[in-house]
Amino acid sequence: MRKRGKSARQARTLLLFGVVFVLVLIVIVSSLGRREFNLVHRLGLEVVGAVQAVGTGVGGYFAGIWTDYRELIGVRDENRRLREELRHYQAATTQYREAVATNVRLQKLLGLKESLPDPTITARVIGRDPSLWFKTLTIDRGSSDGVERGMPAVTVEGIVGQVINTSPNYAKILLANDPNSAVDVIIQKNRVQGIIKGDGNEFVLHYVLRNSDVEKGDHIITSGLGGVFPQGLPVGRVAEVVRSPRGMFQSIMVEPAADFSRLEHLIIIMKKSPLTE
Amino acid sequence: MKSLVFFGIGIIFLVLQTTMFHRFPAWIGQPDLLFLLLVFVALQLGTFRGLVLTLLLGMMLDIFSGVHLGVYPLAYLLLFSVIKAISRNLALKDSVHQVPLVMVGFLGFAACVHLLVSLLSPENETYWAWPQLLQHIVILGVACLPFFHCCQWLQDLLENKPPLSLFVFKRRPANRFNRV
Repeated sequence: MRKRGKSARQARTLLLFGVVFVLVLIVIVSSLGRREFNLVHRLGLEVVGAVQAVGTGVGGYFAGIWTDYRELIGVRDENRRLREELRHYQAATTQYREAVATNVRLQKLLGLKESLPDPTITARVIGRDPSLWFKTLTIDRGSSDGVERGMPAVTVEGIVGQVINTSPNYAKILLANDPNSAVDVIIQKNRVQGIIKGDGNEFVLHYVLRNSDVEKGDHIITSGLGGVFPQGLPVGRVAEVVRSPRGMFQSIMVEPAADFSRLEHLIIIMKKSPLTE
Repeated sequence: MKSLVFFGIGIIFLVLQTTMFHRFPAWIGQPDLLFLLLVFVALQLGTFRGLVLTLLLGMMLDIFSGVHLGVYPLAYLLLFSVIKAISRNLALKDSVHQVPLVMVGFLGFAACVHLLVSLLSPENETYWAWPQLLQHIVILGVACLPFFHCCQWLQDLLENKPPLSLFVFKRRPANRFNRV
């Protein structure tokens, strides 16, 4: 009885497989040579296509992560390389800019040098006074270059000071804004004479009578009377005028024409001055 | 040897102060390292050695600063004498006392230079600016302890003593007056 049941089940299985096989065979045979999908193909495509879509999405996602990661490494290297290139070009640009600025400055100095009547020599500022009380500079020209005590120092902007000490290769300049400096000047518009003295930062114009016409913005130039500076060099512009009710003279503050904090090159006018003797 | 090394350091400071420090932004100011070195010399070196060093460095500073020669050696000499005299009675080698010493010392030194210059050229008004002076004093007060520590380290190195720890502040001995 049990044996009969087993053989009947085997027969049903075989029949099922046979039917499926025949159906598949029919489908294959019926689709041979055709270009259009039949129902089974379409169904297969729908199901597998959906899986494919999911698979491609997931694969694409992970592939994207991987690609991003690989690109990130590349970007990091590229970034490093670009930064180095940028640094290199920035340094080069700074050098070019500095060269251009130096060129412009030296051209101006050359122009001034040619316009001055006395022989001149160009000097580089190599040191500054470190103290709070004095305003002096050290330059890279000395007595072996013909620099002597009392010679005036100027820039394109205006007067700077005068030589107070020399050694064979270096010299010390007393800046015009030092309290120990005094320069004979005139107000350009009305030729009123006065003495410019330094106050540590700016100039103070002394000995200008109260009734003299002096206004803010007036140009001050050297008078040439002191025997140190040639006549007509720019000194500065009047910054403030105070007329006190008492006293003979006005109190006049003058903004220097030269920027003493940014001096790099100077011209020494090789003129014998009374200080030399 | 030690004096020579400190003299060399003084020259290096002078060169730095005259060539580099003016490039610093205004709020940093220009720390007077030479002054700090001279205070250290007055505190730590012997009288004769310190005196020679003080005068030599004062003369060197005269070359690069100022108009009247002799102002700095004289001012430094006075500073040296005052510090030496005070250090015999007060524990100036303690870190706690060094900050006010430097600050007051610089003020005294500035006043001394101002007085000397005013005497030498009475016709000119000598430059005196409180804000800049106070800025200098504060900078020196801040810089003095690490500076002295470095100098002390160097001195120990030159004397073949074991170097100091990195801790800047010195611990005072428990009882400095109880000597057996």
